[in-house]
Amino acid sequence: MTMKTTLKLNLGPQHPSTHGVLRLILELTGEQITSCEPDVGYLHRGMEKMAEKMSYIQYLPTVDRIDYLAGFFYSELYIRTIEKALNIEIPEKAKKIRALLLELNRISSHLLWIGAFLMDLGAISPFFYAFREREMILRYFEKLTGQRMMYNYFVFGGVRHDIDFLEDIEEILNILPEKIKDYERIITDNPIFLTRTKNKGVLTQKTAINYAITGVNLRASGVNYDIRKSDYLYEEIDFNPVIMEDGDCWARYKARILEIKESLKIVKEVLEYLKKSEKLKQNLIKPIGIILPEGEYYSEIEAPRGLASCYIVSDGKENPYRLKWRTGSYYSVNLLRELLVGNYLNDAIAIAGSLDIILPEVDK
Amino acid sequence: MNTEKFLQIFQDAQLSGDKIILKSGLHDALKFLREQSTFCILKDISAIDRSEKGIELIYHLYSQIDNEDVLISICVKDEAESVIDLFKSAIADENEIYDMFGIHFSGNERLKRLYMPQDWEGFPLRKDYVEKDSRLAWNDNEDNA
Amino acid sequence: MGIIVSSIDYILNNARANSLWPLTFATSCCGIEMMQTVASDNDIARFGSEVFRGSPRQADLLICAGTITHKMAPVLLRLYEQMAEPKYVIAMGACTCGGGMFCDTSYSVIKGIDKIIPVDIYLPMCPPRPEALLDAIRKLQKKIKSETILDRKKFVDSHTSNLMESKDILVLKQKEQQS
Repeated sequence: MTMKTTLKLNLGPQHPSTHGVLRLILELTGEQITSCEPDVGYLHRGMEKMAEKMSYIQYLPTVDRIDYLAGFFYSELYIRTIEKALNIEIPEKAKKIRALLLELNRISSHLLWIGAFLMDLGAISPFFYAFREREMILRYFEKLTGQRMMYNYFVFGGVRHDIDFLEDIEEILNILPEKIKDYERIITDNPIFLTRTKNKGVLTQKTAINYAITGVNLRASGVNYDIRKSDYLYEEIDFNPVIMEDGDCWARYKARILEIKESLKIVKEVLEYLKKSEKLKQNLIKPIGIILPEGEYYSEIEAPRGLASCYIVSDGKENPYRLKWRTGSYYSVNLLRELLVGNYLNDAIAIAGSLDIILPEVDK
Repeated sequence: MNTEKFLQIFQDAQLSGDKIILKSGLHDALKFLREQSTFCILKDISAIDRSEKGIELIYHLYSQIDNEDVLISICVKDEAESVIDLFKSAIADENEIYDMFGIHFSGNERLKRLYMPQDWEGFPLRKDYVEKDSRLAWNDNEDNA
Repeated sequence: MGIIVSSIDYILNNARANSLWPLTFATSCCGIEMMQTVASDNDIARFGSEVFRGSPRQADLLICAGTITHKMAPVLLRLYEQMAEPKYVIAMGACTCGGGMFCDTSYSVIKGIDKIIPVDIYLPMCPPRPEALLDAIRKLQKKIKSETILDRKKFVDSHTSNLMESKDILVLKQKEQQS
């Protein structure tokens, strides 16, 4: 006799493995997932409505909180949109400083992901290793900007002040590659890790494109789409986007490790430039009372969790008429509807973790 | 993209800046772009409350082969055509717009309150939104200490 | 009588203060700093609080790390009520202390978790450094060591009555029970 009963399982919002406050409503047959319904919004802070009530400079510090692991990206994105609207050209050195900090931020974000993902799989020690190295980068950020996570360092027309403490970055560049090798020794070929991630949660190119997945997750499925290639900050910088073929959890892990290495290369290259460069001269625009000309402005950036974009509609007043964020994680959460179906419950956490979902980005 | 060809097929569409503004036939237009052209990524759907003109929906499509973006815009009142059969990513976008603007997408059965609690009053991103939900009173309680 | 109470207090307070088991309740930015506090450089284990529990029933310290929204508030209250006495709360970060930067402009953020649950230690900053969280835990330990069993009950009771006043939460609970 067969039993055709399904069981509804509620995962979250308070769950140690769901990277924040994600809630998944799963339907199970035995241990197999037959449907998945993500329920988000437990961290909806109304960022878009807030923008309509605030002036452009007032909103600037808030932007970092959209993705607290990669604050530089969102402030760069927001500032970039406004600079585009006001036709501001930023000096060459400021561009390089921004590129350097963005890449360091990407490394710290991926490091945290490695720690958290491995903890989801049940391995505790990589968490401690990854956080140790992340702390190194965070200390540098704190030295430079005065904050560990919400930097508010980029301003309209450049950066707040000239970059300093370059010897700290050099130290990071000396230490980090060795540590990455350590991670690879511990994790990459670990048989338990391999069995839990190989061929689990395979994301095909077609599905990824249909669900508008971007960033590392898309590149791990073999699609060469990295908008850093056409980004004005990365002109003259030589790097190769990381492309993996398999599209499973392991490929996404490996892609992130390789991306850290690639970012280190960029950091090294920019650092050489910065060491030779002269003192930063920039004409910052007066931030109070900025008024964007009437119109619509759009810009995008390759954030660690996929393509992020900012769309500002201005009606010629002191505050935006409408501000819209596109974030990568939101589409990754949407993908879980399809990616989890057919898998076993014990793989669900691994698959959801491998997509690098971060909840404030989802909920905005 | 061959804009002229597109404008020929969709007679009531007009070009304004970067955007192609449609009056109707949204689903057909997106189907054309996806199947006849190479636009197969729907990056996002933005909604803007244009008060008297209704809600403007902007569909941002991207073609990876030609490395090209196209913006399709349409103004709706309370109901719009769903495109989830063409782009699965629209499930997320349409749900967000339903929650924030109260637009119903015909053909999308999964619409529900997303960011706000299920029985929250009002649609926050509309320009005429007033904060009147009873739960906002939680904030008015005097300090316990 | 006083001697008995104070010696019971001494034993109980020391036991409670030096093995606070926190609940993994991280909603946003501060959660990452909380993770950093657990990790290598700061090592919360030095203060006896490294045992982060996934279930509220095993925890006796709720470090509320991150913004609480209207959708999350009933969950927070339920988690708090599921914890066994004695239970302590640290409001970590500006958002939980009073709404923080979302206080004036956001429609969905609770302006301070003390509207929902009683709070022992307020820890502002956005986000607090790991050292600040360690300091908050030290302060909480100090507080626990200085109180008597009789006072604690009064403290909790004075808050419970306030919680009950929030009728909406009760209505919501009933709704959830029905569905």
